[in-house]
Amino acid sequence: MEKRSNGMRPFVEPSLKKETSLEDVALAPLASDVPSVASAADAAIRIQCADNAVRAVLQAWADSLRLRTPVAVVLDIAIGTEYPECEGMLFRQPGVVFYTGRRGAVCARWETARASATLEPGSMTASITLSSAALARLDECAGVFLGAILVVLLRRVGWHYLQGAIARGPEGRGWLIVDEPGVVKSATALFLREGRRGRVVVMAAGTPIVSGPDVDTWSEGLIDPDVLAFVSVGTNTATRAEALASREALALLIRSAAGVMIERALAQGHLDLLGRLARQARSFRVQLAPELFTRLDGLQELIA
Amino acid sequence: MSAYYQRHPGLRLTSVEDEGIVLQLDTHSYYSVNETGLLILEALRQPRSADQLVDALLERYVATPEYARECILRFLATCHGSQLVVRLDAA
Repeated sequence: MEKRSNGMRPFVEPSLKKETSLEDVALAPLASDVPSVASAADAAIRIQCADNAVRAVLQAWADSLRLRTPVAVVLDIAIGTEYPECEGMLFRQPGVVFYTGRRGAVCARWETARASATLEPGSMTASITLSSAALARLDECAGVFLGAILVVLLRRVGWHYLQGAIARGPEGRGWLIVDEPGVVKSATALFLREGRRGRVVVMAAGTPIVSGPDVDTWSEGLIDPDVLAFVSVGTNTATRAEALASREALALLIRSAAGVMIERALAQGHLDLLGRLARQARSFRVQLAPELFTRLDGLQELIA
Repeated sequence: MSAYYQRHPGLRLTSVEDEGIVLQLDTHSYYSVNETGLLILEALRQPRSADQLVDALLERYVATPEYARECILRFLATCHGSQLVVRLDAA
């Protein structure tokens, strides 16, 4: 907005534009193919369960995530059918619903088979009850339900969730690739880490968009993105990139960080972190065309 | 008698390049606001009347008070309908 000589600017009518609802946006399951993330303490995810066989299966799953968390995270598993008392719904994703529990707790239910979790405020332990039906689908339960519980627990130590992928290109720039929901299914999980300027901790990889022999992909645990690319698959013959304003980029980032809605006390910090990320990087909406896969440097040339 | 307005408790707000992104945690919706809308929502950390908002905006922008007030009331009504602001008891 242009300033006048006395510092006053022409008045523009205040406006409000609804971007979208986050109710239909899912948290992706945590992938097992993740780089190790360095931290001060060699903490881990610990499974507690009286049933040794169940504990062994779930501990193997937890170990496969290779998360070295700043503090220990405990999933305390009981076998049963009792659901905790829940109040209002906080957030729904396919198969998993989060509720407000008693005294500020977060509760979650798996809808595929009876399973529930209670996360007391500030605690790094989730109390989880799995029914026999859930035990019969233990791998699915771990990937979908327990993975969603971990996302909420890790948020409490400042690891905020964002669905995307990251790479460092051959030119040295850090790339954060965010797929528009429902378009590129190979979405991966990231966490933004508090206390650093928009720093991203890589938790998973998967999209082939900028991977290739010339790209040092996924080898670094921490990348400060210089470029945010919001990708979709186009029908054109050539890949296209359109620059986005920071505000537009932030609106799109929120779509990939729907967990921002869970736990009010953490929402402002999560939102501020996404804002920093949108401010620090140049952002582009990218429509991918098949030619990109035969000319890997095409995207970098577009955003040079 | 003039109504006072304040941010809804479910509102979270952050700014980028003089514009804002607003989350409504209860309705799971989010919005973008322009520069003047951001200024109003930032001012509504504390209860404010429409007249107080007019004064705040006219410290920075050029407009007639009548036009500014009309625009602000329209914006407040939109925000109220979206559960972004609450209308408090008249003082």
